[in-house]
Amino acid sequence: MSDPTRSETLFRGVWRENPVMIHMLGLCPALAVTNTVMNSIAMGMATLFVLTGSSLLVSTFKRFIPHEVRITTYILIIATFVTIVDMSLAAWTPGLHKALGAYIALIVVNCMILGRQEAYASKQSVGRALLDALGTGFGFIIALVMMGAVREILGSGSFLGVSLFGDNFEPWLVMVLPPGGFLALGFWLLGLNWWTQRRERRAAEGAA
Amino acid sequence: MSETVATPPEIPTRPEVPAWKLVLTLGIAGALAGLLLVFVDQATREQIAENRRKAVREAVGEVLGGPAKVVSFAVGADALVREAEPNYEVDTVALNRVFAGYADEEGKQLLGFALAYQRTGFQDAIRVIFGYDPRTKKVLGVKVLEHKETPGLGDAIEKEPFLGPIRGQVVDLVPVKPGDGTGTEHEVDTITGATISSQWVVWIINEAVAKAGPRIDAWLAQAEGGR
Repeated sequence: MSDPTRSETLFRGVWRENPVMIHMLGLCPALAVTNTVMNSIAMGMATLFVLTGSSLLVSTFKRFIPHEVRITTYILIIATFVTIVDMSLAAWTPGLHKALGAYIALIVVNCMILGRQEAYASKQSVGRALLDALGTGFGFIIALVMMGAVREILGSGSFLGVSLFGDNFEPWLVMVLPPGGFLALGFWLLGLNWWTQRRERRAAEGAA
Repeated sequence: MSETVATPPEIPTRPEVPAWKLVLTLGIAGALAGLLLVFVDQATREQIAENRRKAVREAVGEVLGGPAKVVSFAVGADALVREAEPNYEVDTVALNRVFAGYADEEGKQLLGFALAYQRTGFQDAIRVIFGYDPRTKKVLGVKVLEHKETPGLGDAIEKEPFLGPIRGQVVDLVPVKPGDGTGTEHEVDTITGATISSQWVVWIINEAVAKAGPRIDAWLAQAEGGR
């Protein structure tokens, strides 16, 4: 099998191998902080930064990291970037820092990030690792915004804080509460799987 | 019938890495990470401190019900020391500063004092600020400045259903399980699923009053005696 092209490396994580909707990784923040679109974007950007920075360093220093301590070293690198994000958000966007709360620190244990280091960045060139991290990170942001949009529109009647339906709208409070995360993810997975199966069935019928 | 037994494939062995190399790798990685974090800390420290001062300033106003004038006092060894300008730099471990809020610009009609104090919760410190009327010993308002309690459970300590009923209760507060209370003015219902976190908020208020209360009472006696 030939190596994927650079654009394939970049774009596969965005949708075809989306970390949340396809691989079901990083579900903790995807369920927890997506009660508004802004929180989703902030968490997505923070994760993108940590993933890109970690992949860059792991790929650069992969020859110097002994196999026996590789996971410890990856976690150390990831934790460093998470602390940088934590301090930066606390300094320049204190409102978002408070809204995301303990979940910023929990980026350290996001299995999507460690997974990309172990499965990809530690084996590939710096350029490829960077493309993979950017694609996966943007895929994560897209998935979080998909969840956040549904939850904010139904749960608060707004999008990015802008009211959509006026005063007569009765918000579905459950959508901004923790069960709303499971409901939104469940319905997205249901819809996406239905769409994928229909496309495959039509392709098969067309081929026959 | 003869059976051919397939020989298992050889598993490639990795050359053993000496322990000193593992220690060195982790040591260098740790040192570099520490160095990087020192730079980031230097770059963000002042801004984070400014954000904290702003949060305390807003919270003082909130827990004292929007005072027209605020005066800060350094908590001395045995008395409160009035500061010329309100200083919102609080050390919530030492309870180094309290704030008096007045309903009028002249500073004659005292609303109460705001105290910021902390205690270690499940994950990290819970920093609480509350308004307290030293004459009636009533809590005027409570706000959780910072916490890292479990999202979905312990974080209910910062929400109105828990904090609202503390308003108007009399110190010493007594945490009780919801439904177990006898309706006295000292009781505060804890949160089911976050019993310990909510108890800590109550204890923070009790401890802060126990620590700074005598000095506030002394100052109040002196201020009212001087009128």
